[in-house]
Amino acid sequence: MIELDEAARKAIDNARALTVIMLEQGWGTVHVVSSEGEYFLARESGHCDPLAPAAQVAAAPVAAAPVAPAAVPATEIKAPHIATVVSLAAVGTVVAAGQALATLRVLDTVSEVVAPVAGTIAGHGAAVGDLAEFGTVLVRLQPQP
Amino acid sequence: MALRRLFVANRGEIALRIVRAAQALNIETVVAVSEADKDSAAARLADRSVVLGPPSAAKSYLDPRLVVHAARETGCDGLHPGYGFLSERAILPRLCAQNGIAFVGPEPDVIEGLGDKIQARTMARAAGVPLVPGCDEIATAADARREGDRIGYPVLIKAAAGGGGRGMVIANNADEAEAGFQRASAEAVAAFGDGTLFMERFVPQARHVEVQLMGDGNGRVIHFGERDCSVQRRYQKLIEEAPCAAMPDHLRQQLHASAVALAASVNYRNAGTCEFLFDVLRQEFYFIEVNARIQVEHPVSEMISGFDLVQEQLRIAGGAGLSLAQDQVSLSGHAIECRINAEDTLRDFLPSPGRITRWSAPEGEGIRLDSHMSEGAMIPPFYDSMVGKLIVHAATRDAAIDKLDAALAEFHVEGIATTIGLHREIINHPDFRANTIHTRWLEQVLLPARQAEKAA
Repeated sequence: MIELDEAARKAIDNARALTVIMLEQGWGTVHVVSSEGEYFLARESGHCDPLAPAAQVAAAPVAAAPVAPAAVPATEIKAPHIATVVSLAAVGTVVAAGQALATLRVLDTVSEVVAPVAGTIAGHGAAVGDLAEFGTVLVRLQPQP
Repeated sequence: MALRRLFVANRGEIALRIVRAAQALNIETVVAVSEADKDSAAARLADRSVVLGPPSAAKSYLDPRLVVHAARETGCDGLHPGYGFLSERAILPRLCAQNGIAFVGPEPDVIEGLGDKIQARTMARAAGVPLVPGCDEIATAADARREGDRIGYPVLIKAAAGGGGRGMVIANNADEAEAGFQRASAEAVAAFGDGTLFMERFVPQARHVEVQLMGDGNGRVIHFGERDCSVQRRYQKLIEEAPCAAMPDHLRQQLHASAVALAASVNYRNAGTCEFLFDVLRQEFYFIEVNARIQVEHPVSEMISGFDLVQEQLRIAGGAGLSLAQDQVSLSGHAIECRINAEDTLRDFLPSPGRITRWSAPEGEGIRLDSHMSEGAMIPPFYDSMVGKLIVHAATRDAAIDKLDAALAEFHVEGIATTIGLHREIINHPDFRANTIHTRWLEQVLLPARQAEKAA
């Protein structure tokens, strides 16, 4: 049996948690740089990539034969941990990738949940004042076509 | 003002145990879970459960801010930390106090003081509790000889900056102490760049004994006897008994008095355990540390006292004093607990998570099972591997061993590897029956013999 040191165990723990978040959010890649280290996780293909949406669009052939666009399902943006919902972007708001979708509070500390991709707020899954548990849908984001 | 709604900040069997104790006292319960424990037995039994975060303990059970926020926002007026996780982190009671929640445990300053090895030794010395005889600084070979003679052999000479056995020597007489000083000092300089050494008495045959305490926070402390937890592997307890049958009565009384004196000296509140090393050859005991929480092995003390320690914890946290006096604590018979872990004992105790396909547990008078498991339950790979504790109580130690053996034989678990088979081998070993074991017995005697047998 391999004896892992504390740092290695923590790194595996973090990677595991990131994988869960990546799968739940439907992201194709996750790239996190923190004081504990750098993590890069990627799926093989077929998923939205928050790091390179522009590149994918640019690479698409401009003169492609017109096809009926498939309905892109709205992305569910979920609470990353238990927290009280302080504010939610209004339905219909157009947001850029990285823009705040919701503010959450834990004790007296407030943090933002940001859009992984550009899009429009299609609906809410929680209300301001709710105690949102981990995984609770905060908003549904319709990605920009 | 008794507690009205309790937040359970733990998982596994102890979360279930706490929910049941609260329900017996008509206290509502909210259980905190990670994503992996949403369907746990405690979550199902509680009035409410809330998902703190993902399976990673660091992002759920180990985040004190998430825990206290969830407790406050679910309207809880009390919080039980269980054991492990945040139970001995002073930040938890501090955040509780700031948010008007009663912490089921001692004051944060007491947790911090007892959690610091040096401070805890100072407190113990001040309360008249015996410490391992030793000397903090050995500067020369002559010091080693003089202090070794004073302390009594064998002695352990150790690098102050040490760890991992480097710069560590056992000396059986004055000549060995002198030679050992030279070697340990050289090793310590080479390994740590610091040749400072200390010396303490080496206990070749030690038993781990501990006293169960309960305090009201105003200097009143009572005890529920002692436990013997000498069956250990890598400092993890596997089997615990109450009382310590290897200890004579006059020492037992001194042991209890020492533990109570230390806890009373810091106005200890709620449940705690004072741990000691019992030197069998010299018939002396020395302070190790205080665990400022309920312990895994508390059921053996409950079995011999007939008293529910977790319910008493909740009453005290709700503002009540101790519900009984020392002379109302009556201990009888002998109790033994086995920790059933999901581990493969033949593969170096490798954790064996997975789904339980069969769970057929023993029942009967004097048999208690504290477990959150059942057929079809899933053991997630993220946490410790304990799936339950089997506890038996009988009139004598021999009768308790027989009862435990029969109960273990009836305990059928499939789908995962468990330590059930190993427990039967331990308790039927002549050394365990004769009660001549010590803290390194399992690793030095039983496991090597077992390994050799399997290899043959």
